[in-house]
Amino acid sequence: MEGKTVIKVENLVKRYKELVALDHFNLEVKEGEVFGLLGPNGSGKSTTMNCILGLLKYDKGNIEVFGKKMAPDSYEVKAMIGVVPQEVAVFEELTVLENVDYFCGLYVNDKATRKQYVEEALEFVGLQEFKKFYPKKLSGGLLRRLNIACGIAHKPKLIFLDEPTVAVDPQSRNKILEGIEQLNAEGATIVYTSHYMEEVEQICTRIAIMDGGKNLAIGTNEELKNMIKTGETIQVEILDFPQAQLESIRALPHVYRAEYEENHLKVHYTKGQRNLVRLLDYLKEHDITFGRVYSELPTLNDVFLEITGKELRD
Amino acid sequence: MQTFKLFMTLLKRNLPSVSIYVVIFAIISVVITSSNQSSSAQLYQDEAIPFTVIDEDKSALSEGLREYLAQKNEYVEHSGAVEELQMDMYYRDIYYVLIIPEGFEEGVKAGEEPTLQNYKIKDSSVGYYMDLAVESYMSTLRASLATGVELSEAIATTGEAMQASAEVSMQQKENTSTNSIMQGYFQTLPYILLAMLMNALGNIMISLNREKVRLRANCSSLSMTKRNLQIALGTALFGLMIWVLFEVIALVLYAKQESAITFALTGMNTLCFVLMTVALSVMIGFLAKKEAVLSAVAIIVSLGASFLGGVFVPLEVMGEGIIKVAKFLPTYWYVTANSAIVNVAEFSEAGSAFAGMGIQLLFAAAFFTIAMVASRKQK
Repeated sequence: MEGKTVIKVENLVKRYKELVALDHFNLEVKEGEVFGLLGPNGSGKSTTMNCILGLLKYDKGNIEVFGKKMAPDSYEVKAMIGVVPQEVAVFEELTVLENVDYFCGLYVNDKATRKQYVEEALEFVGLQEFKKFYPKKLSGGLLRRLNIACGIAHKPKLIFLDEPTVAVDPQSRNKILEGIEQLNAEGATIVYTSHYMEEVEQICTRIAIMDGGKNLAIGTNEELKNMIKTGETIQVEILDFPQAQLESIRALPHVYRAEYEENHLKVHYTKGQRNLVRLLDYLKEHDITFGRVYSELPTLNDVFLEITGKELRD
Repeated sequence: MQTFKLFMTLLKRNLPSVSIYVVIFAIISVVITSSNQSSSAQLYQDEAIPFTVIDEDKSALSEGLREYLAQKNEYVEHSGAVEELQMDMYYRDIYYVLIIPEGFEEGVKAGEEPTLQNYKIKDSSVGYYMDLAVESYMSTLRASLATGVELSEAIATTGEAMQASAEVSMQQKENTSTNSIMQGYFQTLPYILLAMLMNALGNIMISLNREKVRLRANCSSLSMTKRNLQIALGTALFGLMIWVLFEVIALVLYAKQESAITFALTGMNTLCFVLMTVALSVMIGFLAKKEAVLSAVAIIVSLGASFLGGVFVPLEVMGEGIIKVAKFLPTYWYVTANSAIVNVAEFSEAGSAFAGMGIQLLFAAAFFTIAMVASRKQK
C-alpha cells in the first residue's frame, strides 16, 4: 500500500500482571486509510489504542505516530489526533454545545475558529437541534453522536474510534458509519475498532484481525478472504437425504467438507467455478428432491473461524 | 484557559447550593447582631417589683420597712381587700404582698422575732427577691439595735445603710458586646466555609476527575500540568471570592464598632482558613469518586472539625484529652488565633495569632500536596 505511514507499531508487548494483553503486536497504518481492528472482546483492541495514544505504559516495543515516537507528553502529535472512546465520555453538567466546545478547546485556542469548528461538528453529527440539551436528555444514539462530535470537532488528521456503534439503534448506526466515511473522504486517517464484522467489512479499507493480543492477519477485505480455504458455502433444503450420497458429494470437484443436519445439506467449497450448477445437477441425476437453495460467500467470521478455530462472537 | 472556563461553568451550576449557605449565614448574623445591639444598652438593670403592704401595726418600724422596699420597687396603694388582692396578683398588677401584724414594732423592741406574713407568686424569683430584701432590712435593724441604740435611731440608721447600693460594672471594655458578636461571627464561619466549599469544590473536582472525561482530556494536546494549574487558579479564585464576600458582610455589620487592626487580623486569619479549606476540598475531590461519598465526608469533616476545634463549643470547657486531639485540626488553630486577635491592639502583639495562621497554612500545603500526589496516581 502506498502513502505515508501514520502509525507504526513494532513488537508491542503489554502485560497486566500475568495476563499478556499484547504479545509482540505489529501494525502499520497508512495515510488516508480506514483501518479496522477486528477481534472479539478481550482480544487487545482497546489496549492497542490506549498504548498508541500514550494512555497506557507498555512493557516492550516501539510506537511511532506521524513519524514521531509516541509518549504521554507528545503534545504536538496529540494535537493531530482525535479520540472517540468506547464509553461516552462527556460532562453531564454541560450542555451538548458546551461539551463539544470544551473538548475542541483543548486543541483549538482561537475562539472564532473554535466556534466555527464546534458548529461544523454539531452539524456533522446532526445535533444542531440539541445544542442546549444536557446529555441526560439524549437518547443512546444521540449520546454516541455527541461522543463523536467531541472527538472530531478540532479536525484531527488521525481519528481513533473505539466501538462507536455499541448499543446504538440502526438509524444512528448508519449515520455514524456514513460520518466516518465522510471524515475519511475529507482526508482523515481512521482507526476503527469493532467486533461487528459487518461494519468493518463495510467501511474499512484494511483490516487487522486480532485475538489473544496478537495480530493474526492483515489485509483488505478481499485479501483476508483469499487467505482462507473457503470460497463458497452452498446450503440445500432436503427433507429426505440418503446418507450414503454424502461421500459422493464430498468427491465432487472443489468440495472440502459436506454435512447433512436438520434437513439441510451444507457443502463447503474451495475457490472454483460452477459449484452450484454441478451440485444441483448431481441431485437431479440421483432423484433427490430439494427445496430452497442458498449460496453464501465467505465472511470475516469465516476468516476468523478458520484462523482461530472459534467464532468471532464466542 | 479552557479548563479554567470549564471550572467556572461547573461552579455556576453549583452556585444555588453555595448561595443557600451564604444567605442563611448572613441572615443569622444580621439577626444576632441586631438583637444584641438593641439589648446592649441595658446589660444590667434593677427590676422594680410592684408590691403592697398591709400595715396592721401602723408604727414607725412598719413605715420604715415599707419606705425601704419602695426605694427600689414600685409600691402600690391597696385597700387590703382579699378578693381585690387576689385579682391584682392574678393579673400581675402586684407581685408581692407584705402583711405587718399588729404589735410588730413592740415585739421587735422586746427582742422577739415577730413573724411577717406575705403573699407572693408561687415559686417566683420575684417573691424570693422580696423575701431577701425584707430579711436583709430586719437583719440590719437587729444589728443596729444590738449596739444599744433606740429603735427610732436604729430605723434611721438602717434606712441610711440600706440606701447604699453596690456599683455594678461590666468586666469587659465598653464595646465588648459588639466585639463578642463579631468574634462569634468569625468563630462560626469555619463550619460554613468547610461545609460550603467542600460541597461545591468537591462536586466540581469529582466532575473534572471522572475517569472517562479525564482519560479523554489526557488524549488532548493540553498537558495535565496546565489543566491542573487552571483548576488551581479556579479554586483559588473561588476561595478568594467567598472570603471577600464574608469580609464584606462583616464590614457591613461590624465596621463601626471595630478597629482596623482587628478587621485586618481577622481577615488574614479567615483567608488562611479559606486557603486551607480550598486545599482540603480539592484533596477530597481527588480522593472521593462519588458525590454520595463526598457529601458524607463533607458532613463528617465539617461537623467533626467544628465541634472538636472549638467552633461550636468554647475550648475552655473542653477536656485536656480533647484539646490534644483538637490540635491536629486546623479549626483549633483558627479558633485560637481568632480568640488571640480580640486582645490585640498592634500587629506586634499578634504573635500567637500569626502562629495560628501559619499552622493553618501548613495544613493547606499538606492537603494540596496530597491532592497533587492523588492526581499523579490517577494519571
